[in-house]
Amino acid sequence: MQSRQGVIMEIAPENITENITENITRNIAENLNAKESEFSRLHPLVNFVYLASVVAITIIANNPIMLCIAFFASLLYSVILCGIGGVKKTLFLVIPILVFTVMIQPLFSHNGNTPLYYINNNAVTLESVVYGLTISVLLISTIQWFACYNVLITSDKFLYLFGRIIPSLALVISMIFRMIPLLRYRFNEIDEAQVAMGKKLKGMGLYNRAKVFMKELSILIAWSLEASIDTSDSMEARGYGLKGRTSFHLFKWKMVDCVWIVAILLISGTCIYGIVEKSVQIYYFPTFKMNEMSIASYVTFISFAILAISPIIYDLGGKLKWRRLNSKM
Amino acid sequence: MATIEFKNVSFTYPNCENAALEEVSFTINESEFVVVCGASGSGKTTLLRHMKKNMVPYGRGTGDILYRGQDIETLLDRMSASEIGYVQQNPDNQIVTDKVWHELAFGLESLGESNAAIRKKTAEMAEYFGIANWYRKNVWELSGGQKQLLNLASVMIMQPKVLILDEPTAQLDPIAATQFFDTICKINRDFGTTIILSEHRLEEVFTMADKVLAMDQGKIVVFDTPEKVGKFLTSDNKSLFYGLPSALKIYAEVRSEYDSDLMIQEISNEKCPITVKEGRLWLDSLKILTQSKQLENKVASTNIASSNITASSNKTAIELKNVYFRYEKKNQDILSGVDLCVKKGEMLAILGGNGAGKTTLLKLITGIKKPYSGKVKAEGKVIALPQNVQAIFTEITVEEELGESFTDKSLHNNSITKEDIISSIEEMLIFMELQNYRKTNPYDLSGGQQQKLAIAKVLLLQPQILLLDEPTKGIDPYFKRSLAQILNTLISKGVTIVMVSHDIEFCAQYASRCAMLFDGTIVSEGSTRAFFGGNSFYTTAANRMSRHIFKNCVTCEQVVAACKGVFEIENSIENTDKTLADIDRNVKDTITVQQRRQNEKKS
Repeated sequence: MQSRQGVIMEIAPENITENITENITRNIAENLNAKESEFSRLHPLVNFVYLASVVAITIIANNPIMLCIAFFASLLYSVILCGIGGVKKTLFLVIPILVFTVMIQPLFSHNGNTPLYYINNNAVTLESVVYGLTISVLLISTIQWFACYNVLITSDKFLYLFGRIIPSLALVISMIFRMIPLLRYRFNEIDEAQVAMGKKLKGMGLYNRAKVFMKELSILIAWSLEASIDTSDSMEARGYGLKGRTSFHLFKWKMVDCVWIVAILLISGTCIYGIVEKSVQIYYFPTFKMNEMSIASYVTFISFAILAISPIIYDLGGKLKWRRLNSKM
Repeated sequence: MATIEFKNVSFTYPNCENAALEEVSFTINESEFVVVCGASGSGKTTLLRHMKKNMVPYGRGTGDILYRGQDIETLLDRMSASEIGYVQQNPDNQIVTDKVWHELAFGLESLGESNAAIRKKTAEMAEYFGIANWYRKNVWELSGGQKQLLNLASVMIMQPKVLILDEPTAQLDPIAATQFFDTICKINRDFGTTIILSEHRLEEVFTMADKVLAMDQGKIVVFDTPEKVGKFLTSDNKSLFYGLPSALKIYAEVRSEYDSDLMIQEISNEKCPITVKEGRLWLDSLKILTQSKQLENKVASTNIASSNITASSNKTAIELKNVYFRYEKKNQDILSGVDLCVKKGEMLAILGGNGAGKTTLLKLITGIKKPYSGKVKAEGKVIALPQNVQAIFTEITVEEELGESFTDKSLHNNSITKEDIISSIEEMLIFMELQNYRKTNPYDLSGGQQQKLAIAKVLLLQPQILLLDEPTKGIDPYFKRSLAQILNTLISKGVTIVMVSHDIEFCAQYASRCAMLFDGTIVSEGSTRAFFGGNSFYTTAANRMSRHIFKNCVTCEQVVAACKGVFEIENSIENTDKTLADIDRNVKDTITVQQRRQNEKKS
C-alpha cells in the first residue's frame, strides 16, 4: 500500500547538494500535481467511503456485467491516477493472477454440465473455466481499485482517518515515515565513509563484504539510538505525554463533501440492496443461470456504473472548468 | 521579578569526580538576551538543561533553580512545556514527524488544542518564520538551515516566555547561521521573549546580546554586558579568548603589548571595539595618533612573513583536469570543467557556498564517484573523513575504536605484530591528547574530541592524502587551534591535506592555499593571503576591519603585527632617518618575537 511513499523515499537522501534537492523537489511537486485530482481534494472520508463501497460491491456482486463495469471503470481511473507507466507495473502482478486462476479453478472444480475435455478422467467444464475467469476479473478489478487507493489515500489522509481510532498510532506512523528516509540517508553516509576510508574495496569476497555490511549496520544502529535520545528529549520538551493530546490535520469538511457522501451512500445502498435481493444473481453451476432481468436489475447496473465512473467525471468536469476559466482570464 | 534565578547550584554527573556545575548563582531578567560562552566541556549544556524541567540531567545536584520565583521542579508539566522552549544542537534529531505542518503542530497537539486553534496558530507561525512556502513539504527535503528554523518555529508556536538554545547553529553553514541569529534577535525584539543562547561563534552574537555569561570548568567566570566581558576576557589570556570577535582580539593584543605607552593609554579609555565597524573606527583613531600616514602603505605592503606553511615540494599529489560531473543524466552539471592541482605536503582549503559541489569534489578525489568526463589523479593513498564523524565509530571505547583500524590486515603489512599495534595506538592517543579518555565511549566525547578521534583512526591507516569535509563544524575555538596544530604536524610529516570548509577564519589562519568553488568551477585560487586579501566580501573579519589601512592582512595576528610595525616606526622616526629597509627588518623582528611568544604559549 505504501508504494507511493516508497517512490518519494527512493528519491530522498538530499543534502548531497542543493542542486539535486532542487531537482527532486521539483519532480515531487510535478508528480503531486499530476496525481492531485479534483476528487482527491475532497475530504479523506469521502475518498475512503467511495473506495470502500466500490470495492465491496465489486467483491459481492459476482455478476459478469457488474464485474465488467468494475473492471473498465477501475482500469480507466487507475490509468488517470497512476499514468500508463503505473498501470504497466500492476500488469506484472495481474497477468500471473489471471493465468493462475483461469487454469487452476477448472482443474480442481469439476462441477458443470458442459465438459470441454478430460484430464485423467476428470472433466474440465466450460462453467468452471468461466467461473475462474470471473474470479480473476474480480481480483484484477480489486487490485486496480487499490492502485487508485494508493494515490487517493496519501499517508496524511490515512493518518487522519485511522489516527482517530488509536491516537498514538497516528504519531507512530508519522514517525516511521520520518525515520525511513533518515535511516537511508545515514546508511548512505556510513557506506560512503567506509569506502572513503578504504575499507570497502571493489572485488572483495562475499564474506568480507558481509562483514563490512554488518559493521555498517551496527554503526547505523548505534548512531540512530544515540540520535533518538535527542528526539525523545525534543518530544518531551514540547509536552508529549500530557493528558488530552489532540491530532491536528489539514482537512476541512465542506458542503461538497456532504453532497458526495450522501450520494455515495444512496447509490451504493441501492446497489447493495439489489445484490442482496438477488436481482443480479447468477448461478454458474451446474449450468449458467441468471435471474430474469427486471427493472431492479437495470437499476442496480446503472447505479453501479454511475458510482464507478463518478470520480472520473468529476475530475474531467474540474479540468474543463479550469480550461474555461483560463480561457476567460 | 527575575525570570530565571540560580542559587548556589552544583551538579555532578554519576561516576564523575569533578562537578559539572559548581556553586553557580546568577539571575536573568525578563526579556534579556543572554549568550553563554565557554569551551566545550565547561558546563554550558549542563547549565542550560537545568533550566527546563524535563531536560535536567540525571545526577547529584544541590541548590535552587527558580522560574519566576517558583522552583523549576515543582512547575506543572503543562506550564513547563509551554512556557520554556528548548532548541538543541542537531537539526535532524529533534524533528519528530514527517511533514512540516505536523511538526509545527506537535507542541499544540500535546497541549490538547482544538483543530481550529492549531490551524490558526500554525498559519501565523508559518508566515512569521517564512515557512509558508514549504508548509506541506516532507521534512527530509529541507536544508539544514530550514530544519533548524522549523525546530525553532515549532517551539515558538507554544509561545514560550523563555527560549533556551543550545548551540543551535553548530551544524549550520555561516549564511544559515546568520539567518538563524537574525530570527532569534527578531523574536527577542518583537515579543520580549527571554533568550538564553549558548554559542561558539561569538563574532555575531556578541553584538546582539544584552549580557554574556562566560563559563569555565563548571564555574561562572564573568556575567556582564558584552563590552565588559570583552574587556575582562582580554585582560588575561584564557581559552575563551580565541572565540572572541576579531576586533576585540586585535584591540586586546595591541593594547597588551603597549600598555605602558602613553598614546595607547589614551585609547584604552575608549570603548573597546566589538563589531567590524567599531574596529575600523578604532584603527582610524590609532592611525591619527601615530601620525604616520605617509608610512602606512609602505609598511603594510612589505611582505610580512606568513605563519601559514607553504608547500615544501613541487611534486603533485592530486590533479584534476577538466572534470565534469553530474549525479543523474537529466540533472544539471554539479562540476563543469574543474581544474585543480594540489602539491604534495600542502594544505589546500576549498571554499564555496552551499551546493557549490565541494563535497562532490571530495567524493571524486576519493573515487566514490566517477566523473563523466575529465581526469582525476591522486598519488598515494587517499583517505577521506566524512562530515558526520559518527559515521565511522564502531566500538565501545576510544582504545578499541583505534584498534579497529588494524582489523583489516590487507591494508597493512601482514607482518605487523600485536606490540606494534598497541604501541602505535598509544602513540596516537598521546598525539591527540586523548590518553585520559581511552575507556570512554566515542559517543560520550565532545564534538572536538570526536573529530580528533576520527582523525586519529584515519591516520592509523597511514594515508598520504587526507581529505577533510568541514572539520571545524561544531568545534569550539580552543579545539580549532589544537586541531590546526595536529594538521600542521601532519603536513610536516609530508601528508597532503585538502579540506572543504565554510569556516573562513580557520582557512585564513591555517591553510597554505585556498580555492573558491563556484558554479561548478574553481573561480579563484591562490596563496591564502593573496586569496583573501583580494576578496572584499568573502573574507575574514580582520581583513574587512583593516583593509583600508593595511594591505593583505588577513588574520588577527597579521593585523596586530602590522599595528606594531606602525608603532615601531613611530618610535624610531624621532631618532634617525631610517631607511625603509630597516623598517622592514623592524617589522619582521616584531613578528618573530611574537611568533616565539606564541610558540611558548602553545607549548
